[in-house]
Amino acid sequence: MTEDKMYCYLWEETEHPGECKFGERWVFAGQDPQKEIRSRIRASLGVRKDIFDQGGVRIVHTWDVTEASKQAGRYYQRSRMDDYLREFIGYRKGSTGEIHKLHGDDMKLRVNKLLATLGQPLITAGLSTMQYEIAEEVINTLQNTSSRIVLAELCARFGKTIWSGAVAVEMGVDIVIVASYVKTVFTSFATDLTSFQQFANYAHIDTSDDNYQEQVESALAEGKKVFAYLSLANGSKRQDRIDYLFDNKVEKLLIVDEADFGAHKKQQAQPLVDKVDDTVYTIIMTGTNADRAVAHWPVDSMVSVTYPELLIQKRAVENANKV
Amino acid sequence: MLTKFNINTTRDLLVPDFACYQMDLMGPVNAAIVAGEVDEDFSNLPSWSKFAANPIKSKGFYTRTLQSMFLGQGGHDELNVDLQTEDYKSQRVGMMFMPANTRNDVLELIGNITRETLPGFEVIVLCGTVRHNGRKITNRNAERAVKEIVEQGRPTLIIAAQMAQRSFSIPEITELYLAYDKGENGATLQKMSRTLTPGDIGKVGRIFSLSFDPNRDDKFDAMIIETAQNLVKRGETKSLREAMSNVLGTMDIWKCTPDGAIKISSDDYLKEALEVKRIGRVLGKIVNLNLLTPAEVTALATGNSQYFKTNRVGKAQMGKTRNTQANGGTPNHVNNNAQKEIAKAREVITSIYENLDIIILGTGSKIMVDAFDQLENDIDMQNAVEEEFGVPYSTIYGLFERNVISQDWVELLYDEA
Repeated sequence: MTEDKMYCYLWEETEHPGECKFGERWVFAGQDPQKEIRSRIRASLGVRKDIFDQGGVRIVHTWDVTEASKQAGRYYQRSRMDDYLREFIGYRKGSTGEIHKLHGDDMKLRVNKLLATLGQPLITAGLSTMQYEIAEEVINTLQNTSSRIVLAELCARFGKTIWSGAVAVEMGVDIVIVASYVKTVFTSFATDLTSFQQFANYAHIDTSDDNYQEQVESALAEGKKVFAYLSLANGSKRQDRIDYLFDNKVEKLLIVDEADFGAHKKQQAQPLVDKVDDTVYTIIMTGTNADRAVAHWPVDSMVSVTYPELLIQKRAVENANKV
Repeated sequence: MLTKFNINTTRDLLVPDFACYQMDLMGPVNAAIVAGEVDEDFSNLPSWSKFAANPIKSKGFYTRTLQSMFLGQGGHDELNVDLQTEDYKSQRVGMMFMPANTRNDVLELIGNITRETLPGFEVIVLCGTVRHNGRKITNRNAERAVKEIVEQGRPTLIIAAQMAQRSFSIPEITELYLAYDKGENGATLQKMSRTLTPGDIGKVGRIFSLSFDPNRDDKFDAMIIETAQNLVKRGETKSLREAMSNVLGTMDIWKCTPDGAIKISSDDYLKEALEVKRIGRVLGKIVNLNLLTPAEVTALATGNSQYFKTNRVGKAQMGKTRNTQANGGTPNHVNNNAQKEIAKAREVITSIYENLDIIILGTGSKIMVDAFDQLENDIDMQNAVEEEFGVPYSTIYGLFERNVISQDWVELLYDEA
């Protein structure tokens, strides 16, 4: 690091989810930002540093906000850049507090979105070798062959979320529909993807919001692309949401995540299968039980990565590093 | 080539290493039999499912096993985890999966026996009838409950059956014990993954298959074979044999002995697996059924002997991944019995793989196309095949046409037999 930087950080106590602390740290050129931030958080705990030492603090995320601080005229030590940002976020505990009454992941998502709006360049996401190669293979299959539906059986630790996000970005489709029966999937996607620059031009919209249609249309009108999160739990509005997301001429990528869990049942899969047409590319994503995952899908192509393949790649990199 | 993403090879280094251990439980079983600590049924043919049906009846076997594994007692060093791994930890965090159909009350009972046997351990049972700090344990809060216990710093053993198979990430888990006889391949992979959450630098996830008959235990085989298939498919190796050697060179499989663990070489592994027809069994479990249409799966499962005879695939189509909507009418396995049909179809394919040497040896040909050419004109031989396999020759040929039975595997099975 050759210049001084402004960083913001977010942490929460593991014993007290639902509240988080957002703060800032000025990091001088040559200093290690992560070390400085850890040191700052620990010091801020005063006489209860034991909470930090015993693993009771989860550092949710850190951001380099240097560019945003320059634009806001706050590129200097103790400029209260954190206070500037928290005004946009809200949910403060008390009117002047630095604690936000939000879960850490929720707060992280809000800060990511805010920084993207303010033009702060985010971290650039890199892919592991296997992620890269499989992304190339799947994109080639979807775009250059007759296959429109790919089964992706991807092992633990592969990094399915960022991988499928990368496929979506590279394919350039306007609407990415992430469908799952497991609701935590949506939080994972939104919090992971919004941390990276490649996803800065995407709006993340939960279709369980009352005004989700308005959000989608507004994002597309602004030239943004959309990640729309669709719960496959069979509620009264599910079919309306599916109709809205699919009944249009826009090119779409449908990602069914945790496809072997809940989403494999006919009442969940069939409404989506019925919507597959020339405007829809589909990735059925699962870690295991591929048979079950595609029981109702006319899949015509498959990719698979097992854990030992990740280890083989790890060995290759280790050997290359030795050389 | 991707335009917005680059490769970051440091990400390749983040996955923890893992090692697989085959443990033979017959030492404590025999000791318990001699001491009269297990019932007759268990003595005759011990199994985890029998233990899980009534742990009290075979309690002696279980307590001896735990004592050997974690306390080094009883003179069964082949089960002594510290000796086998050569890695002594002051805080051991292990997870043990019992048979998936273990009832909650029985799982609690197993937890109680474990606590009595391992007084130095924190033992937490993950099932819906157990409470932690006043809260019922659920899939949602299981991870948090375990973290709270692990933070206390004592050796910890987590016991589960159905719960915590997925979305359960405890970095401190370094030992994973598979205490069941056989299970769905996917479920076994999910369970194994619980020890693969990144933790300390240099973490090695150790997976132990606790088996009453290690020679027939195929819990690790599916992963090896699937990986080998993928390597061949991507052109990274020329043959399956070479691919399997590569895989076994990366993931260590250890046989636990009284003198410590011995690494199994790829040659030994293949020889043993082929001798007891484990590979044929595993191929049936993992074969890509998407190569078949729904109608073909149904025909296979229901023993429709005419289907493959009247639905021949053109030679130009052989070996291609197939559009499952073609040739089958309805979109995939839409009826409610789909899962049962898939399971039955896999059984049929397994049986064919296990008996394939009848065709190879009977025709004296290593090349399947040549073997089928001979069979095509020999009705007697076709009848003999049908008798041995339980399915008509046309079905076997149909599966070969559709690449479900592949020449690669035939070569591996035959060359090593």
